[in-house]
Amino acid sequence: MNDNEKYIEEFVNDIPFNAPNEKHRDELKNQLLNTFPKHRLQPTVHTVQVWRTIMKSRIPKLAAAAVIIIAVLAGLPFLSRNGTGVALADVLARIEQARAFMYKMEMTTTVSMMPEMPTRIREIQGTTIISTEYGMKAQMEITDPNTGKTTTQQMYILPDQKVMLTLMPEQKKYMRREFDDDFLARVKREKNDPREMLKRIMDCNYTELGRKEIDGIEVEGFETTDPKFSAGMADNVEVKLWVDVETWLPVLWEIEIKMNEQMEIQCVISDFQWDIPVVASDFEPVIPEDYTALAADGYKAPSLSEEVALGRDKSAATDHYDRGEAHYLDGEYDQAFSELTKAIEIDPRLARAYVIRGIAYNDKGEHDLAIADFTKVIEIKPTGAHAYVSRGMAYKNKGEYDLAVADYSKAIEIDPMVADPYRGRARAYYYKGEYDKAWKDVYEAQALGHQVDSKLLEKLRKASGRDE
Amino acid sequence: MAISKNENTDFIQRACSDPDAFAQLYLLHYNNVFHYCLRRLFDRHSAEDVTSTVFFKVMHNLSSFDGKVNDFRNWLLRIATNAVNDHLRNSKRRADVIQKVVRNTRAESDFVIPSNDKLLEKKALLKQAILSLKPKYQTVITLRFFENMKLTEIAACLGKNPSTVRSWLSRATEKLRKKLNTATNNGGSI
Repeated sequence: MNDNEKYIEEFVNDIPFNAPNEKHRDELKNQLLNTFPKHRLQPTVHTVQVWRTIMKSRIPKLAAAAVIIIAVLAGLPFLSRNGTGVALADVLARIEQARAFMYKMEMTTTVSMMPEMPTRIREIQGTTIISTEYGMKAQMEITDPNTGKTTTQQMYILPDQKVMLTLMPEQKKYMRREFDDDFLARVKREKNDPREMLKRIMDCNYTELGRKEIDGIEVEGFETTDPKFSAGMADNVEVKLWVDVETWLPVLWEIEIKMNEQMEIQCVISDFQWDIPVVASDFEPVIPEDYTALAADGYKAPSLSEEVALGRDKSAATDHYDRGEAHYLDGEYDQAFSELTKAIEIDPRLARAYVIRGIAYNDKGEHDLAIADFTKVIEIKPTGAHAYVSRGMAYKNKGEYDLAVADYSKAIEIDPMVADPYRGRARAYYYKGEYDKAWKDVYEAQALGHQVDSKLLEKLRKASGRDE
Repeated sequence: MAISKNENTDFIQRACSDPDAFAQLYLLHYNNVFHYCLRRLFDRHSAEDVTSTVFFKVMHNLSSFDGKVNDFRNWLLRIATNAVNDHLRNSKRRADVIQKVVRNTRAESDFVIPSNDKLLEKKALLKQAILSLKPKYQTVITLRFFENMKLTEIAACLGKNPSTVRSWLSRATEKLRKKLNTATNNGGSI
């Protein structure tokens, strides 16, 4: 930071400004919503990208797929690593003897993303069957208590086929999602699969709640508030399990999870039926003929290792880019080329690395290399005007004026409110001897509030014989 | 409020077709846009007018936004920058703004923010000095010193080369410092 910047930074420090006016904010919101483009209203999800986004969002995850998340939990015991938890270890042993079991669940999700927005509540009722042999099947009803509208979903997780299938009867849609072993392992872990959960629960602290009677059944209770239970996903966890003292099988789960300030889940799991008979056909989904696939059908979930590797690589590429850009701004071209090239090797789609390297090549008079880099940027971001301006500049510097004009024109077509391409094209037209066109671009640039190089204007005046 | 990147991305996707999601996106960014406009225009009502313009543009063009969440702030600030510059482009309006700003400085600030006379005088000087700069210099000054953006972030936001922005920033800070010095030494007159 130079002296001028330090001076201004100190000067502006502590300068007071008005706070936003809530009245204006609310009035504007109403105006916007009243004119929200009606043609854009769509009934449901249509694209792979949206589906992927939805799957990454906590809200629908918890509002719909949470049925699975917590439902599977119902079959889980706490397990202690020492003698005091022997009873729970016995519960686990009993559950594992059941080849299949069924239960009912009622869950309420409360989402309040913004203080000014109405709270979103979803009430979910469902019945789930879990088979150690065939997978999982859930039938859910999801109700918005504010509107009374209810939608249903049937969901299957079929480990043998590595497929998750969702049927949406009201929409007559279905979606199939494939996953690999990595993803399945992650799903098991995140969805509290009993086998995967053991390691985590081993680290949880819990307390005994004593005995009481539920529906004529004597039960013993256990409770944990250990955040480890949610693997750090939630701010607060309160889980109670009530176990039949005679059979040592779960009778009731009471779960309250506060994910953060915006989201809470309350869930009750009950009506267990143990060791129920199931056959393979129970877990063979039938997709009615009039159902159509969502656009995301067949989407293959990336493996965990791919995601991790991709994230790590992008981070490394960014580090090289940051260093390369800093070297460039300091005029250290060799270091800049080295770092930017490394960034590109790691992430070949890191457009900004090509941009800076292209500019650096241009500075050094390496026009062909600059043009190649800007061409790559255009391939990556064909709707961006800036790369065309940069490549136009490189063509102009190389003396390829027709190509320069073409690129500047393309940039203007993309964003006619930016002055740079007009100024660049004016210069290219000047070199081509097309002075009228050059003057026209000068006016356009000036109309956009930008100065045009006085030397160019002087040359243009002399060449055109016009005293503009 | 802490909103994760994924949630924010989700808003942007959904906000194209879901009014509720758009409303959430709007509320999430209203303050930032308003603050930016206010620090460019130094007038609450003008800032509110331009903020309105910005969000109508956002609403009608959101479907064309195809970047990632980190790009959204830049996209928003670029729209805001264009809107502010449009607002200032008319020289008469620009002169009016300067006069209005000077006229309203004390009353406006006293009404909203408890402050001391020295800070208000300082603010008046700053307003006059910044508003007398070219819009592009105003833009980089605001992004650099009020939005605390790095040079490269400003370049990305404006769609300019970092070297161009560095040049603008250098000229803008030099001019602004001279104007502030002059005003300080001449009793507030630039």
